[in-house]
Amino acid sequence: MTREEFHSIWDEVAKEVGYVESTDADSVCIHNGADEETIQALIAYGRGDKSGFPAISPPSASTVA
Amino acid sequence: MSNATLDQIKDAAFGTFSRLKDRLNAQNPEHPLTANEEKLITRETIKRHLEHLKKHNVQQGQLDPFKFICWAGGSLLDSLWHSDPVKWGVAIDVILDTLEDVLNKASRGKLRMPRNTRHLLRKLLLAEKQGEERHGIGMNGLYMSFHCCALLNPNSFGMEKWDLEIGQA
Repeated sequence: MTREEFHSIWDEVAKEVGYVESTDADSVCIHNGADEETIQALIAYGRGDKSGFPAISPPSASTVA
Repeated sequence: MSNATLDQIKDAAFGTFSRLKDRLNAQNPEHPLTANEEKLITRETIKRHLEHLKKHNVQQGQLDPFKFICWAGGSLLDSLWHSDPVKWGVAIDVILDTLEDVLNKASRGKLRMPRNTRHLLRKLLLAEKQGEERHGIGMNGLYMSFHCCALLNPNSFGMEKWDLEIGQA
């Protein structure tokens, strides 16, 4: 799946569920758990630069179902 | 932290989902996700995410990758692999591995989940999926457990944090 396809699905679903970004005073504003460097590494990952995360090892027997 | 644009939020979500997909395909190399399966999970994950934000009136200044991973994992368990119990353990391992990837990255390797804690989390997630809700935990619970853990990350200080009094006696 491409980035553009992902964005397109996001926009379709947002319309379906009637989502609009909340800005009212009662909304919950909670820390997203990750700093800017991590977010940028994730964005890069989606663009094919996977250097921000370790290579994925093949599964070991103990982790299979 | 300043608010991200919607495109930046979507890009962060795409990257987060890509990491989970890579982990999933590495765990299940004989049956990598097909394009249709990927589209199904993507749609379901985004739906869960936006419905969560709407239901609880959450402002999204930036993507919460922990949250998005949990919703993707829930979509995998409840949609794609719902009728395939043999794969539930694989899905849970993928979810936990991806959550740990982000926690490790965000804490520069300082926060790692203890093996026994991970083992219990895995059992709780599996129990929930097997219909033993009294002994289980779902994706909201999993998300909040990682959220609270992430707040202990020294790199998160200055944003939202626990009041730590450890070592002040």
